[in-house]
Amino acid sequence: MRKKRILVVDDEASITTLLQLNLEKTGDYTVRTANRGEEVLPAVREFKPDVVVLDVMMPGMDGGMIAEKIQASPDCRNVSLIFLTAAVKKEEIEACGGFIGGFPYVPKPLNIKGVIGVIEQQLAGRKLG
Amino acid sequence: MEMTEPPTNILVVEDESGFASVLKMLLTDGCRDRFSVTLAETLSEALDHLRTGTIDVVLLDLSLPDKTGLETYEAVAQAAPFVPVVVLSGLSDEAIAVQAVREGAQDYLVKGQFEHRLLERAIRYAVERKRIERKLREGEEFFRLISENVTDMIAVVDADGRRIYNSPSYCKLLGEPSNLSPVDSFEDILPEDRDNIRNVFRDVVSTGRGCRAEYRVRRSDGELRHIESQSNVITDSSGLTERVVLVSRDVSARVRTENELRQALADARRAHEQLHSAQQRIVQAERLEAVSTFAATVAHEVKNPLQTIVLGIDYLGDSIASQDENGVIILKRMAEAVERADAFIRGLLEFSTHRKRELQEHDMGELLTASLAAVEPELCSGNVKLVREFCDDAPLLRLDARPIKHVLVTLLTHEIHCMGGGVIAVRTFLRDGIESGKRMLMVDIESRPNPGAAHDTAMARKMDAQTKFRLMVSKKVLELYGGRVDYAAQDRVSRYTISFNT
Repeated sequence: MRKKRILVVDDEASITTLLQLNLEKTGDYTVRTANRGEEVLPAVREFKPDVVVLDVMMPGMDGGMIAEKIQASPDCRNVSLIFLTAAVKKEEIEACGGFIGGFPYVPKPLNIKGVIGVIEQQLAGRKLG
Repeated sequence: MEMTEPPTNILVVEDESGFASVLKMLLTDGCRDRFSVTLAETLSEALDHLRTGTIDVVLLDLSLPDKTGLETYEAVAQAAPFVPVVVLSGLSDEAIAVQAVREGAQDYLVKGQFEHRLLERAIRYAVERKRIERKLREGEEFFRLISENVTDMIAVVDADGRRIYNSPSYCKLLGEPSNLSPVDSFEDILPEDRDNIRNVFRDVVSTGRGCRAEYRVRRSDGELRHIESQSNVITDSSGLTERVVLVSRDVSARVRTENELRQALADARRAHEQLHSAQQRIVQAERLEAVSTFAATVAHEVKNPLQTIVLGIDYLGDSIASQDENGVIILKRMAEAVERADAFIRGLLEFSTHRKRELQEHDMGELLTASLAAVEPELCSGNVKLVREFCDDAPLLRLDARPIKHVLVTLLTHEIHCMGGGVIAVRTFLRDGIESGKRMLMVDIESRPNPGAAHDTAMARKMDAQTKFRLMVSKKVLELYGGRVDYAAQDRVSRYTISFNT
């Protein structure tokens, strides 16, 4: 069975790098990273991730807008999303773009076990090809 | 050159020619050209002379060939109403002469009983009285002209308030003046104002000084009118008030406008105050928003580095664990530091976030139960036993449950982490407040570590600054709901005491 593909998106390079290292260390995941909103859609089309771990508060195109674009793209609809956020409240997340419904959000800081737990939950909800 | 008055033209109406001549002689010779005399023997002749308009006074015999008695006088008076008449009577018709005086003749003289001085005086007095009568008549006519044509209402009452005169302008207000009560001119005034106006009237009468007063009158159609009256007194010869003249006007329109202006001013003041309050609220909300935004930005800039540290600890954990025991401890301390920093930022955000308070009646026992349930995992992992004693008679408190539970969870979590195992007792009870009749609901959280517990003093020292900040945030939150929190620690036993006004 192939490894699960995870796309990690955050404007903080240290976070994307460490998430990639931690996830790949388990041997269960192949991870690609992106640090700017504009990079995400091309990466999703090319890498075809199973899950996108997405920071909400990013300069320029925020996580909500990115999520909307992913959902709107015909070849990206099967992608699960997980929102990472430094904000405390859900209403603050919803204020950024407004498209959060149905996808879990993970408040920072969360240890890798917590992140993996949420990823596996999302994957369990869909059949991997 | 001395100016002489023209002679008074006297018409002597006497059918006895001899007596007439005597009269003429008395008047022309005795009175030195002050009089010129014209003789008439009949009423008809007299009327002809009167129609010329040159006669100043008439000496009139009532018994004439073409008219006798009172009718003689009446005919002359009708022909020349402004010419004084002195009646010449015989002894037998003196009564008729008296009647003629009552009807307007100025005087009467009995034939054979007067001489030229009396005659001259009678004529002079007759002319003078007639002149005064004319002046009086002209004055009354002038007053009537004014009172009947002015829009102000003019009334004259006696010293007891009884009506003497009401101008026609009263019609519009009170109806036909002749229908008004002659006895009490105050009865038209609204009962609520009547006593006051009576008192004002009494003062005017007693002092002789007029004044201005306002009162209300209900019109015949039921409409209420505001009247403003200026009074002036007419005194008798001894200086006492005999009559009071009242000049009044309907000021209802002015009163209405004043009331509308007053209302508009009050409305404008109220709107200004509301606008000012709204402006204050907007300024306050903007300040809070700015603080909230600033706090959120700070939180974001702290949480991202914390996330990096956590992921770094996760990555290094496995490799260091197998090589370096101290490294494991270091990583553990780093993880705890991240946790403390995260809790700090959460507290900061909770304190500074501008959100609408959701006030509802809450039972403190239920809030404590929910808060204790939230920290149950920590109680288990921290080996802390819980004792709870909640009073039954605690009244409901009007609170926003979310921040209160946050305060309770924060305090409990801190205590559990510091204790290293032991007992936490949470109690609620009522206590009399400082103000009589007021009671306070007390929440006591006492932490008693086990005697042999490895109390982390190093951690406790580092917690001091955290404790202070936690207390400050908790104090601010509780103050919003009329509560306060105090902290005391002695012999390793620490206590948070929270109190609420009921």
